[in-house]
Amino acid sequence: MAEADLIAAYLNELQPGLRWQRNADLVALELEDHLRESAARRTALGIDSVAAQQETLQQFGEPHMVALAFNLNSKGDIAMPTKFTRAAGTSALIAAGLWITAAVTGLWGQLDMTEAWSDAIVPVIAALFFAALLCTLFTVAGTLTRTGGGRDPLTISALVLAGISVLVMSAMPWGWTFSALPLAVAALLVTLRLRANGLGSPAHWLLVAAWPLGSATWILMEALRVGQVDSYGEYPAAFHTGFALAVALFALGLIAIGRWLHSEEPAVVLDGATA
Amino acid sequence: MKGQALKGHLDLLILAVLAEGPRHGYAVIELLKERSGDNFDLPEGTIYPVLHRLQKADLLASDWDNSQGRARRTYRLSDKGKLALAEKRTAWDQFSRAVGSVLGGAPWPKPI
Repeated sequence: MAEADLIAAYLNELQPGLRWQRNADLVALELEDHLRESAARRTALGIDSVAAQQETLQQFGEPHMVALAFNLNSKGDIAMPTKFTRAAGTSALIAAGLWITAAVTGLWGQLDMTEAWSDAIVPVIAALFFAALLCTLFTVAGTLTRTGGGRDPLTISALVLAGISVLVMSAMPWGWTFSALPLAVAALLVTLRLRANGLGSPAHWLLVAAWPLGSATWILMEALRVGQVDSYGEYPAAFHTGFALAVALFALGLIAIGRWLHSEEPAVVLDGATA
Repeated sequence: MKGQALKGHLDLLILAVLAEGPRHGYAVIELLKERSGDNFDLPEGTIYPVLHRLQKADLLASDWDNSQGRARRTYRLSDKGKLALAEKRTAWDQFSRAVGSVLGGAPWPKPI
């Protein structure tokens, strides 16, 4: 009769709880090494194989406890996918679409770039900004939740900064060159939090760089007097190019974060805590 | 010592164990148990997330090898980890002296 491999059964039970870890296979390999070593030492002392495995597993801890410990961040908060984080992923993808729509709408009929947004189009842009920013704000909240962020100062700061951008950018969309900067700072805080939790991806830095790079492009093109000058003495080509660049980069960052959050299966109940 | 009380000091204990030289997870846990006289009541599996977290914080580095016939990960203290250990050790010394004073000068923790 084949000997029971309790360690393999234990690892099978544990592995679903490790699936959000980077290199989950290596984590499982490391834990298996520990368990096999521990059981082998017990067996060497004369304990039979099954009892040795049972003792080893008892010392190691219940699979759900070990999985939970792996999914806590440095502050002890649960950092796992939830229905909320998945919805935030969807929201990020919608936000990306809305930002691109805003950029296309702004350029509509103005490819000669002789003026910035016309008075007629500004309310449409403002409405698109508002919708895009609300979706972006939801994405920020979902991403921070994914890292286990609760009500700590970083989370609150990021949400307040993103909220400021919602209000100011929607009220004065033409002032995006400055009013988007709080959003960039919020994105920086989110990206740093992701990195600290080992969840960051280089694509997330696009969210941080997008608006500053767009503003810098606008400032540079204004300084170089690129294109025609409008009735305000400004250069619409600089305005449109900077905005298009910012939106393109920001949308790419949102798509990256949206795809990631949306792809993760929400966790179920672990140790009495609903993730 | 109950797991919950120990958790706040696990980083220090693990860094201290690894300051003596590179070790794999099993050896770290064995040494923790040996040095504490088996007084740390913590599931062994919960030590690994701490090792991983310390590595993410660049306090530890790790390498894989197959010398024992199984893939095995060995941890070692990084330069940043050495500094962190020194800081945590100082903080612990101050804390334990303060508690000892409050308790009337009795040595604490009790020698094992």
